[in-house]
Amino acid sequence: MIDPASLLAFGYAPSGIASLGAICVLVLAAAFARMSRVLGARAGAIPRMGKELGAQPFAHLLRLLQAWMAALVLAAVVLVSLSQLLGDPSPPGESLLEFDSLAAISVLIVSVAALLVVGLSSGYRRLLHLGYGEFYFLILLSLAGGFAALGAEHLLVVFLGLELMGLATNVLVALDREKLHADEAGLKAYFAGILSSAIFLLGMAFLYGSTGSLAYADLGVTVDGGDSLALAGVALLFAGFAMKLGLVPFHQWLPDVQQAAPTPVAVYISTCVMTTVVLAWLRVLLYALPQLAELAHPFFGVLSVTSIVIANLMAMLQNNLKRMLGWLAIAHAGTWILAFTVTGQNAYGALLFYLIAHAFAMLGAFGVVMTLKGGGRELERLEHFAGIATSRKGLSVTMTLFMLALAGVPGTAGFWAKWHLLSAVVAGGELGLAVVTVLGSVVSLYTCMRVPVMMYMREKVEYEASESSRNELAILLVCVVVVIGLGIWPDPILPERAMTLLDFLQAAASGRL
Amino acid sequence: MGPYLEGHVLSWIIFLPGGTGLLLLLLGAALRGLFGSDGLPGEVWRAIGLGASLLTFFLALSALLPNFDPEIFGPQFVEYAPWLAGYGAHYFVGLDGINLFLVMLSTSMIPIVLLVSWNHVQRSLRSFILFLLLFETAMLGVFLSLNLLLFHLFWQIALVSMYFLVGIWGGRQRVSAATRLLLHTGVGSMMMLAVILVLYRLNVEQGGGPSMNLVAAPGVPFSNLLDLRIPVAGEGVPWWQSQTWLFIGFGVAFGIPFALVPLHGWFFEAQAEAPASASILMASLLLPMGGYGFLRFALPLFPDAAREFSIPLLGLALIGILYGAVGIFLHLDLRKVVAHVSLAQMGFAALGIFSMTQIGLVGGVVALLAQALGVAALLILLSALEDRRSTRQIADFGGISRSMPLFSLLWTSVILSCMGLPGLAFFVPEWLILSAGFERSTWVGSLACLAGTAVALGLYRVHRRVVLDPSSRAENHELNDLDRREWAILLALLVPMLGIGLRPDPLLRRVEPAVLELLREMDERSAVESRRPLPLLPSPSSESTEVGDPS
Repeated sequence: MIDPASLLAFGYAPSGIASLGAICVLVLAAAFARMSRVLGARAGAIPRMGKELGAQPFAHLLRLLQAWMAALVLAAVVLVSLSQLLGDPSPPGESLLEFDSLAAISVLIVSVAALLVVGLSSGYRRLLHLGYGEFYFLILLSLAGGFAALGAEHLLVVFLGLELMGLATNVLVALDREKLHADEAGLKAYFAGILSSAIFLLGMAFLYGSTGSLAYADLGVTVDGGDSLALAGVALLFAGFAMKLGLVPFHQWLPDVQQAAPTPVAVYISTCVMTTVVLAWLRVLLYALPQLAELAHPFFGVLSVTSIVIANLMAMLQNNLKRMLGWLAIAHAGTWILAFTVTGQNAYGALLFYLIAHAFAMLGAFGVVMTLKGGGRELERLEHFAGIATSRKGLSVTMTLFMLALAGVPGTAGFWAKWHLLSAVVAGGELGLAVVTVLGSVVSLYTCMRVPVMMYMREKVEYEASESSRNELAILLVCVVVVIGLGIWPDPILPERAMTLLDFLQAAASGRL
Repeated sequence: MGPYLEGHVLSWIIFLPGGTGLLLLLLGAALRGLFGSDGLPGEVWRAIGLGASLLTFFLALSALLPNFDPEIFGPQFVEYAPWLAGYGAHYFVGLDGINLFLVMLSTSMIPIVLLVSWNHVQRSLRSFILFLLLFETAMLGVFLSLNLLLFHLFWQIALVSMYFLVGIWGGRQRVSAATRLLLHTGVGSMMMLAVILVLYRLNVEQGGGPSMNLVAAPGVPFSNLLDLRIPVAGEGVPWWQSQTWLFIGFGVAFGIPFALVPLHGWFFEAQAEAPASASILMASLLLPMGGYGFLRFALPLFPDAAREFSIPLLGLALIGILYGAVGIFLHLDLRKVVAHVSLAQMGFAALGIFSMTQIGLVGGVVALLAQALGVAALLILLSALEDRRSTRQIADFGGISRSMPLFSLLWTSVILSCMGLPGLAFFVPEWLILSAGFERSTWVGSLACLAGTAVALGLYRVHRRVVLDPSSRAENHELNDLDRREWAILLALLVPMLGIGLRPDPLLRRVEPAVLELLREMDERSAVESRRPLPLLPSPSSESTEVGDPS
């Protein structure tokens, strides 16, 4: 007899739950499609669902059911990873997938963010027009891949996981076929994805040639810093990761994709996907290549400086808010990489904190973009926000808060995220990097304040505003509470573990509890 | 005092305005939710804001001023609560001679500004009051914090609120002025953050654990910032851990709001474009905030570097006075003229602070106050003039003494005070600072005297052209004199101005111990023996009583 609890503590649990959920969501969609075809044939002519909003009660019902199902699945993943994190540590096994503390905290962050994305997307009305309900299926499928990469113990698993995540995300990007540039962005994401995968695979091949194994446990012992084949493999591997993360100079695809993708997908990419990639990378660094961490410092330093400088400058020039947030996400990703330039528990704990703060601030900012709809159309250009503060006071205050958080102003979670990471960087003796980051955040402060400037300081542009849904407002409220809460009290004590949040994150990042 | 107030006066004073502001926000939202509209006339919101800020002021007046003990050297009314022990950030506030009067200034300026703008601001009134009250809380927090991270938090809130005040309610070029303000102060804040990160590091390494408290707080086992030994350059530490670079970082951070000359680029445009209320707050609180940063953090933390840079800094201060004097002559927009008066007087304050002598520092603190009062009065008079004539160009005025005798009387006395006429506010600091300048070097003293004369000449010219010169413009002959509201506001500023001018002794007696404490800290923490003997002077308390009686 198999104990279900032990099954859930197993490394396959998160991706297993996500893929099962994905299948259920898909079956539901197929059943509805069939039913509507039958009913449609009987009633006359409805060739495809969701052409006319309101005329299709089935489409509404289906999306609602799917959203709830996806939310339940993700809530299950959240619970499993929480219980794993707070419960008794399980002994490390011999499998390809582990569910140790690092995996659990990573899955927790990504799944909470995904849960909020699902919540936000349920109010996204354009979704009704998109296909037969693939959205939630693709989200869950891509998460199944991501969760696998987060707990991987073998480079092949990371590769497969990230590949699954990337492919599903590509389809998501191009889902809104009526939107301008959607196909182009989907193709771009696809080509960038396969290129990065090719580089990644080549790196794996080199590493295999050098060491004869791809399991983390073996690599951790056998990779030799003096072997040029292994070094070339590692460099290629890291370039692949950097490309998937969108770091400068491998970034060109990301802003285009962010702009053209449907907003729920854009926020999914800049929170869940990017978080997954960086945490999978962290896992590789920690377990597979610990002896190369020191050697790679200059590599990471260059990557993060170029990303911070160029992405912040480019973000300053954008007039499309989604594109601007895309560039800001790249700049933030550059800041995450700072944690790799100074290896150590403090830096990795700070990275996890940063990811949490970033996820909520980004979700909030994109959430406001989604919430402000003019006549069913999304308002995503900056000038659409002109003078909005007079009619939508609460939303403007909220947006300002998220922008301040993204810029890292004190009183918000973003400040402490920056503080932890930079104090780890300074402790590692890299003041130059800290100063670059700090100067970059002056630029990002300017960029972020362009939104409040539009909302508060420009004359109002008339447009037909629509009501925001309750879901969206509730999720924005959650984001506000977290962003302010972590801003004023960034070090809550976790009663289950009798340690503060940061200590807990550091312990979790240190790996196998 | 009630039991709630006992021991928490400073917290009440800090958080009463901001808390009321947030309540206003919630109340407005609730009213809108219930009745579909705010339902209340603007006067109600203004009255709530005014009530909260006046309450704060009277709280400060009744609880702080009489109970402040000038004999105590360290901070008083101390309140401490652990906040984020893990990062050394604590809620730690206290009052001493340096910030006492700045706190009084902050609490009095907000009601004044609310009254000044009573008829001006109509658009988004509730947000306006919210930002004013938030700014007050932030300023009080900045002045009272004894913890560097808490200070940084309040500092940023103050700057962001000022940014919104300028950007939303300002003139035509408001957005570019506000953006300039934000970029300048943003660079400064980030420099401050970088220095804070290094200090944090040093504290963890030397002091055993994180504590960003300036002085010892109860129950914090780690050594505090003022116990750190911060190496000077060339002691075999990385360059960025040396006092020199840390001082430069703080110097940029504090010099920007202080409008120290190469860093003043934001100031004139912001002053010209800000609404009258924000321009008053900028001149009277934001500028002193920069000077206060030097007094509270930069000088005591990095004494060796401060002395090393003393001469160039004095030079910058002198350039500031001259720059202001020239600007007074050249500009045609009265708001900009007044901004240059601020700049010149801040130059005096900087001269006093960077002389790093006892009289100089006392003079610097008093100059921050006197400048705030004088320039605020000038700006209020100017806004009264602007209300009547809808112009600020100096050429449009003249011959006002006929139609507005009361206005002219007040304008004259404020201008005289700014010139440094004995018996009025700015004389006291000017005297102290000039003597400190001569003490440091005859050159500094004489140049400062010359520059001060130039400022006085410029002010005289402005005075003549606005009030005295007969004007052919008929509009100027038909103006209404000041009404009761304007009178009351100006009276509230003139009383302390006369008070400082006629009887500076109570003020100086309270500032002096704090300055002595500051100098003691600087000497104790100075690592380099040879730099120690800056001429330390006998207490000027006997002189200052003489100063009080203009013959």
